[in-house]
Amino acid sequence: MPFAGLGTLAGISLAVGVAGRWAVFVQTALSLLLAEYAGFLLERGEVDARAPLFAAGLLVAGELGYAALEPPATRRSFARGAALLAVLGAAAAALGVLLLAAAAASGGSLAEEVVGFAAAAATIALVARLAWTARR
Amino acid sequence: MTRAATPKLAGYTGLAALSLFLGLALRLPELVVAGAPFAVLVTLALLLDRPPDVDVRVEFDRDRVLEDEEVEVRLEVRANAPAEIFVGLPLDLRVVDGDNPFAVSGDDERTLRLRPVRWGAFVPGVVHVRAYDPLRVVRYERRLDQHVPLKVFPRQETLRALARPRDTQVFSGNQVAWTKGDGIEFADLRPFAPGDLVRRVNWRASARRSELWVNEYHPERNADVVIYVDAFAEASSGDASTLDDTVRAAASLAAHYLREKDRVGLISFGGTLNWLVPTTGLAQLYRIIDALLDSRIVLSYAWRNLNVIPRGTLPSHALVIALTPLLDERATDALLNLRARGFDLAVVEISPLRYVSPGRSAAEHVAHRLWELRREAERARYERAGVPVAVCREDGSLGGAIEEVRAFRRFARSGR
Repeated sequence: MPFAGLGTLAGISLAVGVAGRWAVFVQTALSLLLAEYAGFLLERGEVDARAPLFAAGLLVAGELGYAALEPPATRRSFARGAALLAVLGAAAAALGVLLLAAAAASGGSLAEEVVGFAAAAATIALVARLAWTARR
Repeated sequence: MTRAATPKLAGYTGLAALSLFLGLALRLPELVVAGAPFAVLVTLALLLDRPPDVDVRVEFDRDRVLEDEEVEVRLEVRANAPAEIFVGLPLDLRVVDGDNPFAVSGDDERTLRLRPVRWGAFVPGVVHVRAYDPLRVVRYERRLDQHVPLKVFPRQETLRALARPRDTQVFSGNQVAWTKGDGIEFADLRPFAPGDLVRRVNWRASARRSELWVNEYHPERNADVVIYVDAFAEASSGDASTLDDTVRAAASLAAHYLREKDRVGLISFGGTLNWLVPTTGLAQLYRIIDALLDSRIVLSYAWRNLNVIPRGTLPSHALVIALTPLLDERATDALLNLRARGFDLAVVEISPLRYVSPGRSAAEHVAHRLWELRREAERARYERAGVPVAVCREDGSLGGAIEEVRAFRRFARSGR
């Protein structure tokens, strides 16, 4: 039930965001979907092999949600956007498969966890740095 | 070109950070799998980001149109990235066909069909361009100033007859002068005098009187007409105002008098003073219309009189046609001053009544009635000075008002 509630909230938030062209609601919807998936994984207790599909779906949902905030596209740009979306979804799924395989191969030692945290922090720092540069 | 992040950039960055850290904290590699594509997408987009090259060329199919006549704007877009284009247009230029703003994904050509709803001199052509990188995480905005002038001329009314001036000038024209001279309009008979042309002898009258009599004629001369635009105040409602009606009437009168080979001048008297010395020809019509397009009400409390009008703008013996809404006492005083100086004056009142609601309460009705009475008193001041005042109402055309002026001048002889 809590998962269904989170999913419903995410759907409503996405609908409100698209209808009112408010980006913050699209962002909230994506975060709620992620939270719902995290809760589902915690309850499940074992590795979910469909995670790459969820990753691809979440990315496609995000792309469509943000695209809906923009003015209507021309037919040519719509076709180009649809092709790009398909490529992005496939790439996200492929990346997910690679990451899951890497996670399965790792032993889960303390050193690997430290390296994992460092890598995550470095990734976020890099993205944040690039985003900050873009904002300026 | 200014660069800014789209909401997507912040959203994806936050989502990637949340999923990566939650995944590590909760030991759930699936969350890392879910968040990694967002981080990769943002990183790739920012690393591959290059400023797009977008240019827009704006072109009108004409540079002069009449009110309510449609005009096409051709937009030639050169873009190497997806972009949104918005052409800034004045409120009086309404888009009747075409999208504004519109999206393009590369080189494109668009056409907007515009309808000007009011006269004026417009300089549209400010184009706002918003372009994106291919993954739409960075936005580029640019403002292109392509000032393309467009003149919207006021509608002109067809007038069947014009108010005739009291005096004519020395050049030939279409007005029958009061004086006698060479012409085709019969004036009188007189006895033959040495030097008279034989073809002017009226043989029938000569035979009756047993001596030679000759015909006299009225010559056809041109006249000086000065159109006086009262720009002290206006009454308006929505998009329309008395100034709009005044400008349309002035343009119609100028066109018709110039067609009659008269010399036409313009005085726009209000918070600011604009004038054109009377002259004739098509070029003068365009000069007058250009001057009228710049007409606007400039609020001023200064008490102005006719001393500020340059010498030569008001030639003696000129017919002055004043277009006024009778809303400002300064205009009335200036016009009566003109009359006192001996100018041939006719007043066409551009009625502001249709722009003024009488109100709903009894007090508002009384105020409206008092205001109307005051306007009648203003009209009476003109009539006491021998100046015809014709009212151009919503239902009546300018032609009707001019006909009123003609009737007044036909039956009331004004003294100098």
